[in-house]
Amino acid sequence: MTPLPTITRRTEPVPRHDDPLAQASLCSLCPKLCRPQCPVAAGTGREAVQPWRISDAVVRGTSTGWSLPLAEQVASCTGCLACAQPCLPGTNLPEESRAARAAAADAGVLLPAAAALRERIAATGTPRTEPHPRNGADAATVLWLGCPTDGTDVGFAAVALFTAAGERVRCEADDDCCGAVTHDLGLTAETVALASRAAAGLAGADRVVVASPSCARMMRDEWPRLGLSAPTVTTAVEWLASVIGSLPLTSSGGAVAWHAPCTLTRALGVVEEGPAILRALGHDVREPAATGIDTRCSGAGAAYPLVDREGAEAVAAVRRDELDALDAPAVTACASAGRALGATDLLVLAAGRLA
Amino acid sequence: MDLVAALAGVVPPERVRADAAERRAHARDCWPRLALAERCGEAAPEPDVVVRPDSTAEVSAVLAWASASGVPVTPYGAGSGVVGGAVAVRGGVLLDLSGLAGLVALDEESGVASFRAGTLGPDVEAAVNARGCTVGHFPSSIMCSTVGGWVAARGAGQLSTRYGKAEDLVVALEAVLPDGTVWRTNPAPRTAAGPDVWRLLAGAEGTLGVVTEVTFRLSPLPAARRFGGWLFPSLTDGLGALRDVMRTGARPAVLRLYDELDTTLVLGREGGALLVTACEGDPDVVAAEEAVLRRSCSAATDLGPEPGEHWWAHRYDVSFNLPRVLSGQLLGPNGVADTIEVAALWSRLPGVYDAMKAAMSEHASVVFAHVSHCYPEGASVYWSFAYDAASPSEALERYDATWAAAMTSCAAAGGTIGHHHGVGQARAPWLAAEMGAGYGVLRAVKAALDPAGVCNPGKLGL
Repeated sequence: MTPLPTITRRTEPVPRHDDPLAQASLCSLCPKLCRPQCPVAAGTGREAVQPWRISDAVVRGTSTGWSLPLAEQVASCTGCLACAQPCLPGTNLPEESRAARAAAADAGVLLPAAAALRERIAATGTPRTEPHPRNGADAATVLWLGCPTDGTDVGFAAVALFTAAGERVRCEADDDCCGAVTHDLGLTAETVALASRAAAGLAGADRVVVASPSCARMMRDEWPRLGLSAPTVTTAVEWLASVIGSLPLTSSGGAVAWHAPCTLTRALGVVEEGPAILRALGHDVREPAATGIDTRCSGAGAAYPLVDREGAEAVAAVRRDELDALDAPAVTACASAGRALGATDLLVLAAGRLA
Repeated sequence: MDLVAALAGVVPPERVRADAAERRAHARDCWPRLALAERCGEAAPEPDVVVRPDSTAEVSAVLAWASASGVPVTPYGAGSGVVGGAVAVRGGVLLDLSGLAGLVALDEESGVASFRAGTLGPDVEAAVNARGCTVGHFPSSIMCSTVGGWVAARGAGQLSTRYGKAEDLVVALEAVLPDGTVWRTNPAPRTAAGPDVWRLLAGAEGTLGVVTEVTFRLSPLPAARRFGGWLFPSLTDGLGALRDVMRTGARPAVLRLYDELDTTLVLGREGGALLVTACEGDPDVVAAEEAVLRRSCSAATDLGPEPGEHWWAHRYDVSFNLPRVLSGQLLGPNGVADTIEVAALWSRLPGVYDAMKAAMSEHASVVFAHVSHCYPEGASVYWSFAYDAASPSEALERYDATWAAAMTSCAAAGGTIGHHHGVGQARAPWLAAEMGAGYGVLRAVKAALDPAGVCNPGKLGL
């Protein structure tokens, strides 16, 4: 990613819009400051996935009807918000893209991944694939692990860290899902059903600590738009940063290369905590030029790997090269990014250092 | 002809795409007329296939094949052009040069750096800034325009009064001629070894070949930058001051003089013509230039540095207003806005300004201009116009009428019809009259280099 001149850096949060599809008509005419930012375009070399071209597809799909190629084009966005950083009109392309995916699906044009997920949910009631650790059924704090952590050790690591911190925490039911993945694939009915069920399950919790940034974003930003009451959401990174000083830890490790997850930083504003935790663990923290609020996407966001596996791999390869150049093992705080980059999860790393 | 199959033997197959999304994505550049025509049901022409080469050798192979096969080839950088120069009006191959990017070499002792043609502006500056240098080319499109496009369309950056236009910055270039011949010029400060034939490619917009690499002159990063603002009683008074400044040999980076209406829009109050200035470079030179400005602007009210600082902080913002208008956000659903830049000698500039303002105002509701990109002998006039129409068809008709009025009135008053946006399709109808016998030379060169007429057909009237 090209470092932005300071004049083109948005300093306030990316706005939400009442009519996200209406943004597309402006964006489709403007290739301006966002052009060097899109990780999908950079990784794939495709003009069709540049923000203004995705918006052009949104305009056409909205005005002339949806087709599968148009639906795939508008879904070629990882939701990383890099394009929103320099966008002075405040276009929120991920929001626009998700609304377009839903519009296409509502019109009967389903992405293959969406069709497969719909079938699985119809059969099993959940997108989840793995059981999670069960813990503290009556605790007032809920640990929300989420689909992205399926098949990883993140859940077990998180429970170990809470236990070491002397806090009781309750894990959500095995089949619970916040609806982020269905939202990313345009499955509106499933999203409402899953999110409603999850929100009901969280009712009464004092707080929810969320392991996956995409789940945290879904609860914080999307649930209210679905008419659901959003719990007080704390990301696991924020929680860990608040307790790391009190944890019994073994001696320090060496250098690590930090990949700042884009949803964690740009969407949720959790920027400094990840590196701070690593430093507290005694690591020499190395970061690529594109980091923090300017981080480069791993290609794993907004269900993009389910839409275009080859494209997602191309995006990840660019980021892996940047991390490899730091000559240290990669660490991140997003299970999806961890899979894409071959990076260790921050929670797993920290739990492994418990004395 | 199955172009995908044919090209598979020319470049690696992964460079070739013919899916609907890529063809459509390369159908439009930023020429507003394309968007207006689409509202009227006239779809932008799509290429049949998109090829994204990653080497000069691959560009050469594509052009050689295209010339032999009679298939049109349209070069495309990043699609920021505003005159329809990167549109595949006759289909064929769209040559997407974005894969041909990056710094090739930097000679610090000589102060020159070579970039591949698809390099975006920010990457150019980042590469040379890291070595304490700047190219000094800062078009408002810098984030979305490429090295090749800068030279092919003879672009100008916002600081061109100091650093020069794109073609002034070129020390050497590499290009591929229509028959596939790779041509590298010998980098030299100046030469008398025959005419500067390479200059035919600057402004040819890909009609005579494809620029694949450019070596730019560098300047040291400025050690000082100082801003100013001056309010003149009238545009005419301000023009006299600009002329005086340029004749002293001073080269302020920014000399931007707004006409009375533009001044009202910028300052939010009526009366006078605002001059925004910026001087940058060696501190001693900057101090001298500021002294010249104070002397030449003695008839104006000194507004201090704030107008210049404000312009600097927002110098890319104005670009967003055009899509805002065209998308219906600022005017009505059929709102239109565009810009037209011309240039003239100092002696003709007031006449050009008056003639164009009157002519364009017959079709557009709002017409204003600023004078910038100054030279000892004259300057550019940069027009903005806007209106709201009752229907898409009226919007398009008035757009064409405004452009025609601007071009004909400018030419009649002795100006040149374009300063730095290029010709493309927008100015093509008036180019032959502008160039006179030179247009015959251009056509003869075109016929000699590109007898099959495959290189960017439909641009420059060729």
